[in-house]
Order: sequence, then structure tokens, then C-alpha cells
Amino acid sequence: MIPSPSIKIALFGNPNAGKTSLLNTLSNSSLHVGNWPGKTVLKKEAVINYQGKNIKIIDLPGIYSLNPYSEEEKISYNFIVKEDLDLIIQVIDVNIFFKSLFLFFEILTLNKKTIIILNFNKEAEKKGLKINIPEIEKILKVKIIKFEANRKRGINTLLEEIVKNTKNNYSQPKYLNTLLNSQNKISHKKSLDFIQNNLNKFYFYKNKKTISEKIDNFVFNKFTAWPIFFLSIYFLFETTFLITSPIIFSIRFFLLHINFLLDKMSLPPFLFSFLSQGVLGGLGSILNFIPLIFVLFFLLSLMEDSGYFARIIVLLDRPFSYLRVSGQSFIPMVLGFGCNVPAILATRTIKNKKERLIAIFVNPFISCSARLSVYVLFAQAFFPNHAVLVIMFLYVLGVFVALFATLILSLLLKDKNKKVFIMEIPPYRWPTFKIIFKRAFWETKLFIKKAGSFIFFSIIIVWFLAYFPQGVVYASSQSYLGLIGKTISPLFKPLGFSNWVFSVALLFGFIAKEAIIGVLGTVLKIDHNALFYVLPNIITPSAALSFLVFVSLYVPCFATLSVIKKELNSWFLVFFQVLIILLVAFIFSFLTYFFIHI
Amino acid sequence: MNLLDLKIGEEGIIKEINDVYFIQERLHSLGLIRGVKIKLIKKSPLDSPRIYSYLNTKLALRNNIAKKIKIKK
Repeated sequence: MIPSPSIKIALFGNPNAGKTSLLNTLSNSSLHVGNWPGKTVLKKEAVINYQGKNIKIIDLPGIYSLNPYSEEEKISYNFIVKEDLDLIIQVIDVNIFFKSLFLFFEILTLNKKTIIILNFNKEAEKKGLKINIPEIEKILKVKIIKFEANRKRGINTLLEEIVKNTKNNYSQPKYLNTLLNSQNKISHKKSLDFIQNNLNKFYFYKNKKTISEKIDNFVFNKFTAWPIFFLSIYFLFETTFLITSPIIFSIRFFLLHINFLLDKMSLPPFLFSFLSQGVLGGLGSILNFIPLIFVLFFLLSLMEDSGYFARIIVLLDRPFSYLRVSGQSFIPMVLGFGCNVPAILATRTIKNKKERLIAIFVNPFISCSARLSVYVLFAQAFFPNHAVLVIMFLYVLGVFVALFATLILSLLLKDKNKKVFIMEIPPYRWPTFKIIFKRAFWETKLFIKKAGSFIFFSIIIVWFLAYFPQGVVYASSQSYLGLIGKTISPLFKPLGFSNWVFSVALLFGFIAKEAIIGVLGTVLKIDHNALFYVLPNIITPSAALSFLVFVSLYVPCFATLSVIKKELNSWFLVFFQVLIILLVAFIFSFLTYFFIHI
Repeated sequence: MNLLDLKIGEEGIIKEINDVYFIQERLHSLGLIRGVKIKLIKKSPLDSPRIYSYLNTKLALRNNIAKKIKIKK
């Protein structure tokens, strides 16, 4: 069979020019498009069929220059230099046409067929832009096509032009030689002079005060900036965790109902325990996160694509700069108070690779809402008069450790890129809901695919260890889990809680932090409410506080570990992280037990 | 004078960037080049970063970088 003729093209351009959006429109795929610099972390591609031809379009991370500085820029650079391409399309936000030409001249030095697509033309027109495209085409010796990347209109004409241009003969424009410096690289100064001498009369603005500037008067104003900021964070946080809670509740109710049905079927005890505690437990854990991740990514994309996200990063950059990171580290930290799983996924909004690594690493220290149930029970049982104080102490401790770890890690992981925090401030734009919706859907799907099986099987393993050997009471001291608990319990002697019950509870904490309470009840063979009275007979208040500190800092749950693995793509780093976190938890618990005598 | 000396709404022309080669190159590629007109449009409430506009773009720059960009009126 003769393969159908195929064409390979690459989309290239500054961050935020609309490349991913264009690919989305062309391919109808569900890729995400963002309204702040640096969205495409890896290259994305789509194959479309046009008049019997397969056109493969590759979307590369946005770059400012062919001198690669960041990880994304290296991907783009290596690709464009090495790959055999039929056509390079530089996507340009027409609002910043001149600035984008610096990259254009650099692309020309590669001596590959190149055309320009101008995006955001409608927006520019409203702002009073006058541009004479035919004249500019003549001067730059390049085909320029106007196209609104988020609209379908004109898509066939565009594809036709693309195909036509792959066939044209190409020769490097002569003016390029005049732009080179002594090292045969494009000189920025010469480029600027060339642009200003030749193009100024064909591209100019009647500068009016834009709506974006009017909004920014409030967003950056000394008095209104913080209320707006707190409201939007409150909105992001509350909506994510409050709106999803009835859904999560329904899921739990539904699973409880199935459990109830299973109970009535008089299955053999082994099968019943497997289905109820293993399978349903595992499924429930995954299902719980689905509404959370969907809603979070919906709202995050809304904030990103509207342009407000970039402003938040600017507002908070200064305090974070003292920790040698940038304002980008803030959002994941806040989300960590709700749940570390979506928080770690949200680190994808951090552009710098090392800063992102740090943000992932420190996030589990932030007390998620699942830990609260443990805090509340213990605080009320042991410190009835100071329960709120104890809970606050644990939250503050988590934040303190997370911030301190950020500073230490950023001092250890030196990166010259981090020194230059430079962020383009995009204009405010209306988000396209279809694209936002698709991204939320896509992220959720990815979570199920990449993290689902890990969460599920690790919960099955814990079930297995708690159920076997055959005949013992679930999670009792004779079960494998109980034996492991007994073996490791002496380790906790310096921390004050060497009773094996607590070791088993901590092992169960891997499933989810709230499982700690449930398993304490099961192991001590009492009702959850009775724990309140029984626990103070087992350990001292200082040991209880030390246990709480350990719970607040030690290894994140399976779900969090699974997304850490998904994001870092390395078991070694996950293992390393767990080791460090355990050490930190141990040290802080020890200090608590040693110094606080109640 | 440098970028930090600009008052809100004031404009200057970039003269030179006094920093290590790496940062110079980075700023050049963003279009911060000798001869470009640059204007301070906003200070963030905590003063740094400040937001500048040039070549129709808006850019947030930390004050420690802005200090290195020499301008003339």
C-alpha cells in the first residue's frame, strides 16, 4: 500500500501567542490553552486529514528566543533544529507583532520554510491597531495569514494556504545578512533598527486606555488588591471543596449502599471482606478525587485563561522571593489545605522546573482536610480546654515546615533561571468555556489512568495484609499488618507512642489520613466515639501531641504519592521524598515529645 | 538612572543592561534592547515586581533586575 502523502508542520512562537488554541481549533482535540506565559510543557501533536493529505501538526512550547534558557525552550529549540519539517508556522499575537519579530528573524536563520499566522486580530482592531499586511509581507518576504485561533471561521482557507506554502520554493531573504552580528547570530539591536526603519509606517497603534488597564487599576491598587485577591482565593478554595462535598458524600453513600447489599448476600467472609474493604475501599478512594480534580482544574483554567492568575503571581512574588522561589508557588500551597492531590497537580502552573519540583516536594507538609478529623479527635480527647490551640499549632507547624523546606531546597537546587523572575502580563481575555471544560475533563481522565491503578492496588495490598493469615481478626495483632506494626513499633519509643496500635494506625494512614481513626476503633474493638475516652488511658498527652505532629508531617496518602509519581515520573524521587519526609516527621515528633511535657 | 527611578506613567529609553551575560541575553530576547522606549505602568502593592510596558507588551520585573537596566529620559 502506498502511504497517503503526509505533511509535517510545527507551530512556533512566543508563549501565549495562541499556538495550542490554534492546534485545538484545527484538530478539534482537547488540548488546553492558557492565558499566561509558558503553558505547553511538552510538545503536543495532532494529525488532521485535509483533502486526502495527512497533516501532522506539532505544537511546541512557547519561546522568546532560539537561545534556549528554560526546559521548554530547549525542547522547542532541539526539535526545530533537528527535525525535518515541511513548514514552520510562527504564531504571533498581532498586538505584540514587533516584539515577536525578534524570534522570527532567528527562525529565518534556520533556512526552513516559514509562514506567519497573526492571532488576536479582533482584539487588536478594537484597541485601534492599523496594520498593512501586504506591505509588511513585501518587506519581510514572508506569507502572513490572519486567523482567529479560537474560531472555526476560515479554517479551510487556512489549511489550503498551509498546503500551498509547503510546496513553494523557499530562499532565505537577503535582508537577513544585514541583521547578523559578528558571531553570525541575529543582533537584537539591528533587528530593532530594521523594524523601526522599515515597518513603523505599516503598523501603529492609536493608544487608547484599554479595559485591561482599567481592571488592573483595581487589581494592583494598594487598597483593593488584597480584598480582590482574598475573595478570588476564597472562591477558588471554597468552590473546589464545598461544591464537591455533596457529590463526594453521594459517592460514599452509594458505596455504602453497595456494601449493604453485599452484606445481605451472605457471601463467604473472605469474599465479603475482599469486596467490601478491598475493592470498594479502593474504588471509593479514587472516586472521591474525581469531582475534586474536575472542579479544581475547571476553576484553575478559568483563572489562568482570564489572565487573573498571572496577576496573583505578581502580587505574591515578593514574599516568596525571600524563599528564593516566585509567586507561582503560592496557589498549590493554598490548595494543599484542602487536599494534596489536586494541589500537586496544580504545580503544573509553575513554569520553572526546579521550582515545581520544590513545590511538589513540600506540599505534603501542608495539613490537608483529611488530617483534621484526626486532629479534632485527639485534641478533644487529650486537651479538651485547648483543642483549638492544638489544632492551630499543627496547621502552623505544617506551613512553617513547608516554607522552611522550600528555602532549604531552593538553596540546594541552584538554578540561574530562578534569579530572573520575568512574567509577561497578558491582557484580560474571556475564557472559552468549551476549552476549559475539555481541560478539566482531560486532567480527570489522566488522573484515573495514571494514578487510579496505583491507588487501587495499594489499598488492596493493605487489605490483604490486614485480613491474612486466614482466620485472624481484621487488622488484629495476629494479622500480617499487626505483625508489621509490632515489629516497627519500638521505633516510635523515642516519640512516646510505641504501642503497636499506633503503628498499625499509621500504616493505615497510607490509605487516607482519616482512616487512622477508623482503624484505631477496629483494633481496640471499640466504637469510634468510645476512642474519645479510651485513648487517654493508652498514652500520655505529650505522646498524643507527638503522635499528632507525626500524623501532620509523615508520608502522604497513596493518592498523593500516586500523583507525585505521575508528575515527577520517577519512583526514585518518590522514594527519596518519602524517606526525607519520614525523617522530618520523626525529628519534629521527637522534639515535641522531648520538650513539651503536659 | 535606571528603571527604578521611573515614576508611574513616566517613560524612558533603554541605554544598557548591567548584568551577567545570561541575564542580559534573557532580557534582550524579551525585547528589552538599547533604544526601546519603556514606561512604568504599575507598582504592585508590595512594590516589587513592578509592571512596565514596551513594544506593546506588559512585563513584570523584580526590582533587583529593574535596577540593572539603565535608561535615559
